[in-house]
Amino acid sequence: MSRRTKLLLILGALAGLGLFVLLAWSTGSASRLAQFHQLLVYLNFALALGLFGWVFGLSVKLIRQLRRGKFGARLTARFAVAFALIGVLPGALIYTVSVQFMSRSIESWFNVRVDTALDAGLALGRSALDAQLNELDTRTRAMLPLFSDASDAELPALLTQVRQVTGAREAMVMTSSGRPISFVTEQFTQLLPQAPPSNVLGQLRIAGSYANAEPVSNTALQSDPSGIILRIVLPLGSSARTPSALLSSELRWLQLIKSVPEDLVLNAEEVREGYRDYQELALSRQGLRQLFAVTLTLALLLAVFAAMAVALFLSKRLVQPLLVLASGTQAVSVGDYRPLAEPPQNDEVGQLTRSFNAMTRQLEEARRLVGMNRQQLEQSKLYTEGILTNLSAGVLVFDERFRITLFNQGAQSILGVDLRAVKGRPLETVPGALPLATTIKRAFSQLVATDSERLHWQEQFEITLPRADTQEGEQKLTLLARGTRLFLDGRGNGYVVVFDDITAVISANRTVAWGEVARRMAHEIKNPLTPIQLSAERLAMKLSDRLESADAELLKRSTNTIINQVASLKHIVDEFREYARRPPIVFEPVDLNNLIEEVLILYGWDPISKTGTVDASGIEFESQLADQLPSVRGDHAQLRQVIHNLLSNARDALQEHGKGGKVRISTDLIHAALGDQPETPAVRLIVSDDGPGFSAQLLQQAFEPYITTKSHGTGLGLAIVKKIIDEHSGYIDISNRRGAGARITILLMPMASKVDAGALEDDNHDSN
Amino acid sequence: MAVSLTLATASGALAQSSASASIERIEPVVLGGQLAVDVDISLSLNNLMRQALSRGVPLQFSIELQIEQPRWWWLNKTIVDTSLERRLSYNTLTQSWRVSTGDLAVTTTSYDDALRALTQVATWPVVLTDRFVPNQQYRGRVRIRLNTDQLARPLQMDSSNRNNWTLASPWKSFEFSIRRDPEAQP
Repeated sequence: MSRRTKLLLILGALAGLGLFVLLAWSTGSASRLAQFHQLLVYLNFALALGLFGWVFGLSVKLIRQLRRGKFGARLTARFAVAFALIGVLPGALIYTVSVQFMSRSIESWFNVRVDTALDAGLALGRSALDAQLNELDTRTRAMLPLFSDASDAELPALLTQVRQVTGAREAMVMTSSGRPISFVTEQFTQLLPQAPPSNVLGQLRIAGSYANAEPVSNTALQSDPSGIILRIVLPLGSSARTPSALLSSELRWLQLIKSVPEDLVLNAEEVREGYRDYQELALSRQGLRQLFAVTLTLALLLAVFAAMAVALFLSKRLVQPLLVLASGTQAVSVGDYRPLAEPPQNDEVGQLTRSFNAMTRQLEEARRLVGMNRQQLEQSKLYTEGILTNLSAGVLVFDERFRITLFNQGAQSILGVDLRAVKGRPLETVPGALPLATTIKRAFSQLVATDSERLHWQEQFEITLPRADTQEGEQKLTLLARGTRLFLDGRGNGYVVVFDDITAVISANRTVAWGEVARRMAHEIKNPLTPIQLSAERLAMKLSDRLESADAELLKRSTNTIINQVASLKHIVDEFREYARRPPIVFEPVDLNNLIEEVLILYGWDPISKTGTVDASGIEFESQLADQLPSVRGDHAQLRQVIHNLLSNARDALQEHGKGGKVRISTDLIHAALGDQPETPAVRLIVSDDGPGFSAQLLQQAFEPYITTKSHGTGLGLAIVKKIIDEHSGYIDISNRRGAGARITILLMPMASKVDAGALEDDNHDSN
Repeated sequence: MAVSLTLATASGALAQSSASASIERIEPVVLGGQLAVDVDISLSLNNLMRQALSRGVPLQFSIELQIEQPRWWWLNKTIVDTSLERRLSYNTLTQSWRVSTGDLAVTTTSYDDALRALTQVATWPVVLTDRFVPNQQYRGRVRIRLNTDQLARPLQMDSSNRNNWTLASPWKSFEFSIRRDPEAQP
């Protein structure tokens, strides 16, 4: 509520109160406001009407809000009704009592006894006056005979005598027309007598005498001190003279005027005035009652309507902060945490609002924290999922009935199947995964059966998976799997299996093992070979002359065979030794391009035109060598063998294929970032052909000894290449080209700066 | 039927003939350089008023006089607006009637005499004649009314009885002009 409204309300209340006070004041009969009484009544009625209008408006509004079920209307209505009752009931009670009391008391004023008492008082006053008048009349009449024979000259003395006897104030003899003949008065200031009023003369003419009390107002021209005089007029000489004389114009009157004693006048006047006032009131008792009734009713109406209006108004204001709180609660329940406007009062409601705001703040803070935690959890979950997804090892999670509940990308790529379709189903439904599923189940049951202390099992096994992209249509994988039971919520309700494709590891192990075997074999086999060869030659030399030609021929053939085979065996042993032995590498700057060209010449490549020639079997060598290729750090002879082996392998593959084709060899300089090291330059050597390429099986085992597709060959070529490149800290990768044919890529470290080169050489010396 | 008739007669007897008043005659005269009016009024009071009077409650009457100069172009110009207050009372002690006009009072023994004294206004000096333009027509009007302001307060409040306490004659108008008297001119 604004200040202005407040001010207006206060002013209105004061004006109403003032109006009513004026009305109450104006009912007093002596009030100066009496003439405005009617206007005040109307104004008060208007005020009451205005209040009624206000009450009506507020009530209608409230009822409408109740109908609509507006929030808080019921509480407001309850408050309003209670307040209104508090205001209205006592008002109505007081009104009823006072109206009753008033009408009773007004009636009680006008009872018969008061009426008769006042009448009696008036009659008493009258009779007192009459008694005085009678006495005056009697005395005067007793003295009338004195005047019968008196002449005009004797009159003043007679009049003085009469005045003294009767105690009259003035005495006068006058003619019938009222003209004074003789006059005596006790007042010396009055020189001339006053003629009697016309009504007195009139009555004299009719009745022949006059005796009456007359009121004299103090303010009248007659400066009479007393309020009432007694006037007696009697005819003179009626007894002495003849009746004819009476009828003559000489008829005379004696007038006596006597003042009524002052105390009698005062008392009589009091009675008269009291009687008059009483009669006035009695006449207007209806009006009196009406006056009081109207005033009281107005008071009631004003009080009641004011009480109701204030009740409605106050209840709204009282309920307002509670409503604000309640709506705030609703707002909080739908997630609106804005603080409420705090009321300026320092009362309980204000405290309540403040605590509510504090609570809301805490709630919001808590919710924000929860949200933040959830976000962090989600992030960490995402992180975990990301790790799981990018894990190269396969992860499979089963429920207690071995249905897949979780898998990762690693599992899919190792098994080569889309596991999304089988989520929630057993692993057996995946094509080719039956052995895996069987192994897993068996391993878990064994783990349970042995009641092992260990929490996991580990097993290595081979499975064969159907592969559409390989020639054989299937692929053998060596898997290493570990399984643990999944304990969530304190009970075992699933299984976790982690497996990895260790085919490459196995292959590497084999390579190492073969190296050892080869070294021992070479050592063991080579020793007896020379004696065998020498013995055979000696046999041939010593025995050829002694035998017959046929036998000599046989011997010669046999010994030749032995010698040849031994030579062949020696060659094989040498190769094995070559493979197994680790000749010390002498690092030096090698111009790779130069080296390649040297080797290519052997394969019929023309160094002048830099083009290869097509040989008989339709094989052509093609080179794309990068200019300004930095020198490579490596062993000249071993790198030469690498190139040689690769080119010869390619040529052999094409020859086997029998269709001819191209062998491409290319070099270039690249910048590769490996691991956390900064980008480093590397020299890349690529040898590719148009041949059939590698089989999937071969791709995995190509670097193992005795793995070959050639009809002749030791199967050591690529194994040696791999060995050399490894020793050069290089990298080799074999793959199939997108079209057809094989492709072998080798990365070699270029020669570093002088300092580095020196350091490297020191390293080499140390290692040597 | 009978009941209603008796009721009607009873109420008629109580209210008697309702009070009436009218102005019978107005006579403007010039007297010693002053305009004066003689007014004869016919006045009869109802029972309620007479009852009040007989119980000593005084009644005050106002004889109101207005004189206007007609103006065709605007509202009439009011020259005189005055009233004569006359008070009729009955002295219950001396049983005499009294009509007082200001400080002057006339005492009578009968009600009719008192009424006569009340209703006959002789040479009521109103205004000096030099307020008037000679030979110009003026319009005046007179009425008499019971001055209820002087009644007792509760009597004024009694709304149910208000009609019984309302008495006013209709306005009676008169026209006059002051002749320029050549002999009066010095």
